[in-house]
Amino acid sequence: MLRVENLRKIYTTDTGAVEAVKGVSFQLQPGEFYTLLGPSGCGKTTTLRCVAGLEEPNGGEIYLGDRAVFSAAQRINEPSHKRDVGMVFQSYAIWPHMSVFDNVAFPLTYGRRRVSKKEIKERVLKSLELVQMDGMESRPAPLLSGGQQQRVALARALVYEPKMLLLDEPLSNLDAKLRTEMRLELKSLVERLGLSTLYVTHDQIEALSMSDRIGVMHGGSIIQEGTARDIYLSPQSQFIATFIGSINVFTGQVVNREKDGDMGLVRSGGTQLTCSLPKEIKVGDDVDIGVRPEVIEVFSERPEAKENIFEGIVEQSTFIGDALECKVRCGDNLFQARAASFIDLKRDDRVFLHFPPARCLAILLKGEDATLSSASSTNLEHSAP
Amino acid sequence: MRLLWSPKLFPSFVFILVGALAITPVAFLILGSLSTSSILIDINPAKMGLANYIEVYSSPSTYKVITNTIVYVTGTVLFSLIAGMAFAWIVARTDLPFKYGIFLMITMSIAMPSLLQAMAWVLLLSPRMGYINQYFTMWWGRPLYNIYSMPSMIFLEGLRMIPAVMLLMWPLLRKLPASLEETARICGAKSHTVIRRILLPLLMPGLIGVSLYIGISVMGVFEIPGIIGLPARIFVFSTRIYAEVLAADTANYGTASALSMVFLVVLVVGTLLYLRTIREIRRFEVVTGKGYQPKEVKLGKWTKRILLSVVAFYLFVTVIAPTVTLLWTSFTPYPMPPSWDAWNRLSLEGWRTLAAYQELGRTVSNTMIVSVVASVAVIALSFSVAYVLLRSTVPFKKWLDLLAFSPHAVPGVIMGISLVWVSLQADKVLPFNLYGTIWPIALGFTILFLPFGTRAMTAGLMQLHREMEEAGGICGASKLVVFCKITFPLLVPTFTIIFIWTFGHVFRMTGLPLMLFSSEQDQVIGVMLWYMWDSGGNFHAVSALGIVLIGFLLIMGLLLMMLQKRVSIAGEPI
Repeated sequence: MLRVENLRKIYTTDTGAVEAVKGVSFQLQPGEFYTLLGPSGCGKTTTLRCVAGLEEPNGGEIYLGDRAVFSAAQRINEPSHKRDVGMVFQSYAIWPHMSVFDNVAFPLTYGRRRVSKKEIKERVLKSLELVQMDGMESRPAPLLSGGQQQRVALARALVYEPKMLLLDEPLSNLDAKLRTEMRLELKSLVERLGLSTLYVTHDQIEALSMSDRIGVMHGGSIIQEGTARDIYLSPQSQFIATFIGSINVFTGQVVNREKDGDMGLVRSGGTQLTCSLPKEIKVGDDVDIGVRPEVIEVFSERPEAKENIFEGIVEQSTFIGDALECKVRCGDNLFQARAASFIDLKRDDRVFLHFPPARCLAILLKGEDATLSSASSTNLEHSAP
Repeated sequence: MRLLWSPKLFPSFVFILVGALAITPVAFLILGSLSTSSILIDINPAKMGLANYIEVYSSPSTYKVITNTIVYVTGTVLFSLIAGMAFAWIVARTDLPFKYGIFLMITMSIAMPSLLQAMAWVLLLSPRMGYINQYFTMWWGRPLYNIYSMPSMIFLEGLRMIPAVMLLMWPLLRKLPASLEETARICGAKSHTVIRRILLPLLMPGLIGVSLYIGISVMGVFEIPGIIGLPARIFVFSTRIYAEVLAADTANYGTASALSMVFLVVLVVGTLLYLRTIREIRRFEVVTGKGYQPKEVKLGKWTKRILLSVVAFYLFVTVIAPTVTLLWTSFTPYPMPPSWDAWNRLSLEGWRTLAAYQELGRTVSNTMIVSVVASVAVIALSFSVAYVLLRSTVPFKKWLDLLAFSPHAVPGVIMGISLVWVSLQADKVLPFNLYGTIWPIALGFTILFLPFGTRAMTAGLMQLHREMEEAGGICGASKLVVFCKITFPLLVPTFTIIFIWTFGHVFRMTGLPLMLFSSEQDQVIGVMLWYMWDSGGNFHAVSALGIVLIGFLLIMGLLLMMLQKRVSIAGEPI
């Protein structure tokens, strides 16, 4: 449906040229929901705007279906009004001098596929119904709430049945509760319409819960692509591991691994940890070990398990309703753990942490990533008695 | 298929156009100042030299003009700064009753043309003819005050600049965090220490910026020095140029241009300093953050009364007294102070005389055409400039911004002289005549108001999120449709404000069209008023014309007020 190849975009600023997008490539299958996820400044919005035709890339190719809409080599750059995509902007861009009806009717009145007055009315009403805004068509745009504006923007993007839908952080201006509602609604709507969707967000929950596939962007490149499960459970770099969800990270060296299985022993600081090791990791490799707070088991008495037990003192515990978030000091390390909320822990309580080996994830350190992680993660000090 | 370089085409075109408009007049002025040709207003490469400069700068009278101008500008800046600051402070930080009404009325007083203010005060205070002086001569044996003096010029021009100072200082005072004052006070500092150590340093960049802005504006004004200074032969820069060209036996454009140079250099330096200070202020604004209600100072009963009388006095001197004086004079056969005898002799003769002026119709239509053309051109140009500045990524944006602002340094009188050079040289190659028509005047005003237009338009366009326009493109509408259906309707308020402001100012200005004046073919109202007054005869007819003009401009001012409530033009100096 959409094919982006080796896309490059360079901005010239007062301080010099900045390469915002450095050779990004990805593809969308028909009907797929694909999300570009990354922190601000990673180039995700620029990539989306290049696809929409709002920015002119410096290199690469963009195909919509079989048609090249941008190609540096063939010197093709179709303006956005000829690309036939629908888009919802971060600011919604609802025109304040028009009513809801006029806003949604605009593409059919002034766009490329103009239709008769009667059909305009029919399709606008149908489109408004789709986003549950029926009965609001005569309302002036400035009187809409944020959530309503968002719905109108969506109706306007859908009314001309574009080939694909582009969404630029459409939920970021809504309040928390509305955001959760709209997330589900949006997802089921595009699923129902079978529309290929390119979604841009910095919010990991949106990305994880809505997408068929996610491309994580960092510094102008896609650094990992996969399903939500892949990205969360097997991050391929420390950056992804820390960016998506919270995680305890420390560095170590593989000292032993099972011949056929996935488990192995990693030495970090003065202690050893049994971890699950991806296939490519060999004995002697330097690795990062990531443990998500929610997999750490917290006990007030020494548990029966033999491996991966650490004893520590509670430094902070915060009751957040569905869980108890605590920080536990084990020697020089401070671990974040999420215990069940019925466990009552106070400051200075003595606890035992169990890191289930299958959930301790080793990530191979390579090149640039290695220097990045050694600066931010610690060695595990021996703290078990 | 579209070629990749086309996005730079329009910005480049705008850059070249604005560059040509901003630079051509000044370039011709420089050439003209070097011209030693014996033919009037001729630029001949073979006849170039420094003769004009030597003549101007070896004459002691030039230095007298420079001293006068320095006194005039400094005095006006100081007076308007102190009074304007006081008004701004009253509106921003005190509990004075009706303060927003006061704010609006002071702002509205901008609509009053300074030429008419000056004329009215001459009618009241000229040594022999002035009404007030006539009463005093009658009862006291000698006149009260002679208006033809430097202090009167400074006083009247200072009054003119008070609204501008107030409008510029008001937002700065409002943004000044009250907590800073309070913290200092809690720390045990006394009031004057707070002012000296906290308030003044914080306001310093703002004060310097406003002083430079007012100084630059005052240096080029013609109206008040023309009406009040010329009769007493107190020359400042603008009136000296006038005397050199239009009041001399043989018009000497060469020496006038050479004389302009020293002022132009000062103005350019001042303008650059001003732009620097503005950047400084912007940086400071970012730090102070947003929305809070400043604490109001509680005023005592007597302080309130005194302040209200000061405001009343200001309105009386700038608007009420001049309007009443002109209205009265328009019905008298010749200027005479109100008395029972005078009352019986009132007639419509002044209005009849005005209506009988042959050139009146032509002049009014000239003024209309010039004002409308210049305003529309300013809107078109400033929209293009703002669009390039905010919506394109061309590398020369900074230079375009500077070029579009640069005419701010050029006073109307200098622009007039420059365009005399330009149009007469152009007439040598063009199949039609430019000089002697209204078109150089319209061109001059377009250039003069480009800085204001660009600032206001940039502020307006900045409020229009670029995604508003991009959404139109995504929906399949072409650039033209997006402009007509989205950009234009949303910017109509900004366009209207720029139109009314430019129109209202061009309509009454005297300096620039006076320099270009050749016959009734290119006469506008500002010039007509000037010559009617200068001929010294029909004061009643001048007054009648003045009253019509005041009425017209007040309506324009009210319109602008009503619109401005809906749209802010971002507190930009205007």
